[in-house]
Amino acid sequence: MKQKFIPAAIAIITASSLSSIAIADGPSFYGKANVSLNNVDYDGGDDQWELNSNASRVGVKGSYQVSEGLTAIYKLEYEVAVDDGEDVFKQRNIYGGFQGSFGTVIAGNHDTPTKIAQSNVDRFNDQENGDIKNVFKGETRASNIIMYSSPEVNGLSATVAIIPGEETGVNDGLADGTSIAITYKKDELYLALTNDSEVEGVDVTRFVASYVYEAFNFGFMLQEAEIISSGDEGSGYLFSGEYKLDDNIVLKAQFSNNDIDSGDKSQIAFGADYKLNSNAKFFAYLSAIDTDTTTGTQDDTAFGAGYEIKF
Amino acid sequence: MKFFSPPLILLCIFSLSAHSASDVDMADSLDFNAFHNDKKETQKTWKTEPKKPIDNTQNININTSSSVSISSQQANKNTPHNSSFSNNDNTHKIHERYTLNNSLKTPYSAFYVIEALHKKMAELCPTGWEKTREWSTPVENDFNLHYQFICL
Repeated sequence: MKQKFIPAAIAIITASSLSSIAIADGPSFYGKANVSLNNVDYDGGDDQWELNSNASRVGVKGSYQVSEGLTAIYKLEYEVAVDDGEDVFKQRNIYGGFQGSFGTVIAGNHDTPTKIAQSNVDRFNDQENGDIKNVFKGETRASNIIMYSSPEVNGLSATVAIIPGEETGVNDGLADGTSIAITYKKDELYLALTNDSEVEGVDVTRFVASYVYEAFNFGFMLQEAEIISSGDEGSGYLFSGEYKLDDNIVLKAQFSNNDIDSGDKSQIAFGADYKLNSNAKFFAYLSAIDTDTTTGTQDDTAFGAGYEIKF
Repeated sequence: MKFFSPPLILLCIFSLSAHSASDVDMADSLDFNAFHNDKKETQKTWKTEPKKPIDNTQNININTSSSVSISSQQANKNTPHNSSFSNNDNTHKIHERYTLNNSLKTPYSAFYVIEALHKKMAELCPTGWEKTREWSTPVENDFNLHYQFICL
């Protein structure tokens, strides 16, 4: 058996020697390239074709046991501008921390629990004029964030984050901003209730639900938010859904409305994915966002077609 | 100067170690345990491996030749079952190292080592055998596939 496989072994070892050295007890590398050609038509703004990177990224993650029951974890993730050479790398979620039976503690630059807890109900995440950040507050990546995530018990888990302000000349406290998420997962049901307090000047309370039924995937989000500095407040909701037409084609739709004092925003978006395999797909979408302002209604639309390659 | 930015250096260092296709999806999740699962799974498997009082068995690492096998044998010295031995001529334990990714220690997938294990069983039990237990234990980033069997 050995003689039979030695040539193959040598070939494999030769081909993979560098990668094996790199990953042995060490970090692993992941990421995706998400590139699209967009036609955007923004009232009072751009009306043009664009090539966009849509938060393409590279990341390095790893973990190792430091003592019985305690594991050190780390992640360094950077957004990559595939389409141009300016600001090629931009910080995304970056942390170091520890895991054990007590849960996970991390510190660094990271999405708040409220942002992450919306999970996949945003069907057009990271897409130009499609991401729910264009409609809702609370999509925050916070610097100087310390986060604790509890172990999952019967599908239930909690994540608490505190964010020291670190503003120059101000005696900030340890927890100037807080973000809390309680999530529940059971089979195809996902629920989340979150609250942000003074995170980048905004208070947000958010409820998220998603459910998968056969070829359908439903999403719902309800949110209340207040911009502390202006006192603007309001509430919004989102419905989204996916339908797997077959093994390759997924149809997607999303409707949202956010009624805040400074302007009512609503979004309607449609799209389709064509999966080449589990790591690559083509996609196309159309998203329109209407914003009611004191001077009238602003209509912003974007059409995009592109591909995503994960690795 | 951009060529010397830390992210690019990291990219260069780890550019050949890509794997775990679903990591990018799991990265934006509150489930940190699942995201870092590839390393922790090894530890979990190790700890939950039931300890069976089977010292009266023979443990044979069927790696016997070639530099690859020597590396594998050396690595297997760290496994808890490797030092067990037999005082029962009819019960045997054998194991072979395999990898689910790329490994310097072994080029073999789980599929390949099954054949090797069966050849060894046939050698030890020319009249046939009954496999009484099959399990895997982690060794570094790889696994050992263990067979316990009795000769007929």
